[in-house]
Amino acid sequence: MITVEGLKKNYKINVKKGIFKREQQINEAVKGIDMQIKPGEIVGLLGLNGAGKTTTIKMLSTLIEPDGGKGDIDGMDLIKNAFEIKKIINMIAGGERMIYWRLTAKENLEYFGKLYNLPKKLLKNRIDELLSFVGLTEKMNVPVEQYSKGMKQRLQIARGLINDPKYIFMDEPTLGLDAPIAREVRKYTKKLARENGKGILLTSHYMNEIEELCDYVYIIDKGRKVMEGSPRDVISIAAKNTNKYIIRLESFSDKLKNNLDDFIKSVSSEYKIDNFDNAYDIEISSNKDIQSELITLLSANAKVLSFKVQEPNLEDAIIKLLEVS
Amino acid sequence: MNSVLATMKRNFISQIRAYPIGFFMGNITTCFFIVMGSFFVYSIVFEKNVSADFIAYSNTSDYMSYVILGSLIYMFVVRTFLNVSRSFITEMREGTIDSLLIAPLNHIGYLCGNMLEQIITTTMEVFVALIISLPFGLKFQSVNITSALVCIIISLLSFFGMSVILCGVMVYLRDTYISQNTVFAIINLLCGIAFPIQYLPKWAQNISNLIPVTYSLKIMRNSVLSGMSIFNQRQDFIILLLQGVCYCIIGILLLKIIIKKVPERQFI
Repeated sequence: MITVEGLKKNYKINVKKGIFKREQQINEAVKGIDMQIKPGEIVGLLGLNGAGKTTTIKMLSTLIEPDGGKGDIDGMDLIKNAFEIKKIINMIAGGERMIYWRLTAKENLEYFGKLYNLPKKLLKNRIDELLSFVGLTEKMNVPVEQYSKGMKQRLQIARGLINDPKYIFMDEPTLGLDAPIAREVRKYTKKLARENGKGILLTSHYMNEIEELCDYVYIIDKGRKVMEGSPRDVISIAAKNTNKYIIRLESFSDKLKNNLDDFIKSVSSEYKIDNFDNAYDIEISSNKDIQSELITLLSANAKVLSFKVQEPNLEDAIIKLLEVS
Repeated sequence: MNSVLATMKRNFISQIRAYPIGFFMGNITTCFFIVMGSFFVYSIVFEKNVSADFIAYSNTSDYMSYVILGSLIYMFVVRTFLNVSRSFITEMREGTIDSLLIAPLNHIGYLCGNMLEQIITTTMEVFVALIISLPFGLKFQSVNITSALVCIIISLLSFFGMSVILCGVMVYLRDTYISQNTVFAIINLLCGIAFPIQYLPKWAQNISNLIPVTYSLKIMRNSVLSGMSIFNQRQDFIILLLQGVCYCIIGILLLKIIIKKVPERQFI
């Protein structure tokens, strides 16, 4: 199990003040995070850009030494036993990095396998298995620079599994991928945890991905943890008062617009409207239950084609939480 | 050993795919122009005459062999610096540093792999450069092969140490161009590539004597042009060895800091 307590990281930055003068500033990237990841569990790490997600992942993956706090992986200390920890972890990041573009898929996996000192026969078998797992067997002898973005990402997944790690850190693994490929990556991720018992720490900006995959989430902002729990718990606690109404109207007159503006203002809510397919789609977000007043107002002024009350989702919960923090 | 051979193989494949001929030709051309420039200065400006000072300082009156050997050693220095010093910053730029450092990697082995690939490639280049240099007057009058080989081995150790130190500077400054070219210019000017260091002011000679390349050149020339044995050059060998060990120790200590700093430098 991965356990960290009060993990901290500061970056020293030299800021130019004139031509020769520089001033050192301290950027507190992570200000004391506690976390646990069990084998077979997918844990989400959420937050806005600059919240400290990547720094946290880099500390857990022994790439960066923490400045404070303590952490261990299966009883091994993050700093003292970094070399041993490296044998049971790996990282898969989004984008097209972390692999050598001039090498083929097979050469990449061979190289990384040798860095992990895998015996020759085991390495050969694992390369065959992984290339088949990510569907790159037919293209294994083509240099990576000729691959599509999705193929590179799939190779990254294979590279991240070359040492059969017990724990995997996935930093935006579906970043910039087309929907079908992103779905494939999600499928792999789920399989890795559920069937192969890997402990996975996942960061993503796609909240539906987190909701779909994660058993537990940590939400951080400006280097601090602001909430933790299962995605359902986070939604029910953080977005319990968030009501979202999705309405389709046949028409949207000026009179209705004025009445709706006044009403929305009076209940301190907000709405947006799209004209689509000869109809008007209205999305209203409110902290209050305004369903009955809304139906009365809209049906008196236009023909209501549909009216849906949408459950708040993780995205609503995160926005709410980060607004408060 | 796995990381040494794996990195060497990886580099060979990358080099061949990226620059099948270009990089090889580039290095040969640099050597060719240094030799040709020296040849014209020596033949036309100085009408193939060297001063008594030159003979006294260099133990030879064969200027062309002197300068060609200097250029060939310089090729080794440049290539070692280009391969080893730039290794981590290149990984940073190509986005592969995290996948490398997350592995239980033997960092010295990784750098040695880079160095080994460079030694093999540069040896081939030097061989071609030697053939090109023969018409310009390279003569092996009296060669002590043992002394020359031992000199190469100790020199490579010291070049490795210097390269690791430069690697740290490059990661710290996040620069390759200015750092490496400054070092190349200093070595070219101060270490006796094209002229004996005794022509330099005293303070510059003191700096020259701190750079292992100076002793590498001195020993190599004495071994290849004058046939001097290891015993006759024992003082220079000891200095070169001590410098090599010192640069390596500093480089390895610095490497520990570099490894910690490299992933952080991507954020700052």
